[in-house]
Amino acid sequence: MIHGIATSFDGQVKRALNVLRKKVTKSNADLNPKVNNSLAELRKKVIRGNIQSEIRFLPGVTLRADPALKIQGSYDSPEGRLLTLDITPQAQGDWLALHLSLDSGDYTPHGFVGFACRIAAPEPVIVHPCLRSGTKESFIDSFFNKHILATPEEASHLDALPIHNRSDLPLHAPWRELVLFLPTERFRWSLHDLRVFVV
Amino acid sequence: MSLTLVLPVHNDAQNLRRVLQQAHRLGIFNRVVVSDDGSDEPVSRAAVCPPNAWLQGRFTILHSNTSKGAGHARNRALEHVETEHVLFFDSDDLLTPDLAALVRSLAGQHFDFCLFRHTDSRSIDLGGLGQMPFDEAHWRRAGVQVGALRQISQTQACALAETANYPWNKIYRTDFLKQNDIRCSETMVHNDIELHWMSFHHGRDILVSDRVGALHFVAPDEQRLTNRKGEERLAVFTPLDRIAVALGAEGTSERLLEAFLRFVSGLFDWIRNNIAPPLRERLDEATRDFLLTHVNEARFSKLSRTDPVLARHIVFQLERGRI
Repeated sequence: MIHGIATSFDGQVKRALNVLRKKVTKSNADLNPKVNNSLAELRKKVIRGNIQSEIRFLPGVTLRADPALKIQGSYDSPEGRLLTLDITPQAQGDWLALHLSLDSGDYTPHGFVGFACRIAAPEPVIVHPCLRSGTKESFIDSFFNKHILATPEEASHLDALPIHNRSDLPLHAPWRELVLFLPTERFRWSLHDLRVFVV
Repeated sequence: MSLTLVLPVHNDAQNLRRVLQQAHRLGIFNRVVVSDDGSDEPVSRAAVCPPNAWLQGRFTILHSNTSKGAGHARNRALEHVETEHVLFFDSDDLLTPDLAALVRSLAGQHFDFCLFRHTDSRSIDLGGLGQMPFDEAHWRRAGVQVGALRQISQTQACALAETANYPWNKIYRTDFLKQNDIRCSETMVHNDIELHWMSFHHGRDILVSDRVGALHFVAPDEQRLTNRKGEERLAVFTPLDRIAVALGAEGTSERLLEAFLRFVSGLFDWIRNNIAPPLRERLDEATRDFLLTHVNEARFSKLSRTDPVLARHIVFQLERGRI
């Protein structure tokens, strides 16, 4: 039932189309406008600093490392790009990752969650991306099929996870993150662009 | 940072207007100097620039009655550059938004020139994006493929000097050019070589950026100067002699001279493949004269150790046409 229908047929059609247009727009909406907005902000900024075990570049964009790694190095965000990381661990450790907060909305209407990025690195760097979904007790990681390989030639990478019929990706989650697991050895890596989508 | 855009142009008003509109949108140029190299219909302000554009008061058009080549046009324009920095650009190429980011990142930095990357239309035709493979190889060898802005060492500079000798992929400090009398050659073709090599010869503070600042179009059109096959190609030896003398002088970098010899050896082969066949004998003779003048016994002996492939190829070029 569509409310507020105008008396004329043309008016009825126009009103119906407007309602449908809003429904279609909403169902196809990018569920992650916040992270893409944060990334757009980071692209505009010019920032640089020294690496620490935890760095919050912007709300929702955080680097976290196993404190055991004792990472040192530097980061900068040139204009028009996201991040360049130059990191040297001083000891052995288990994890180092870039965490991007995603909206925790209902994934039921959607088919895929994915991302596209543009990367480069002076020496080849392999990054392992996953979708991390919060659970009542902890979280569950759904790894994307492809590793992100960065080489000296700037390149694009695109991958998507099918959402349904899998046990490692809950349709509802209190929180979600796109986690890019970085090497735990010395590396330099440039993330020129990154966009997340849920469709 | 103040920056002038220099645009040599010959019979290319439509593309000139396009690149000026781009320059306006980027908002990074304080002045523009258009150097008309004897166009059949002289470039007019009204034709290329809308009346109320930002260029009012910052736009200079220089006219040459006859065409003397882009090198002459750039040199003439350089005399009118008063800003701290200058970018020579071609009217048929395109500026990119990343160039604006590069220029903003250069503000406050001291440098002689900053080399940046470009996308070549031939690369796009091959299904890729970026510079041609031979240029990428030199960037890779220099270890500077990745990095928004960095200073390079003399060793890295010698590797990058062997990239294609374009004038439009560098932002120059104006005084660096003027004080060292660095200019283009005033030949119809190959007029960029002297600007390129003398810049690397004199440059002490050289920056590089992996930002793509230009989209370079290579057209198969035979009318374009770069596609010429005639005697004009033989005029290249005059500026090459000047460069070789400068690089070979005592106290200068042997490594850069070696890079230059590698470059010219490849250039001679390229010209030979592109010049009209009846001119090849004259080209071979000029090549022999150049090599015998600038590669003496001591230098050749050293080349045999440091680059035996080049040394062998020089012997081949000396003997070519005689066998």
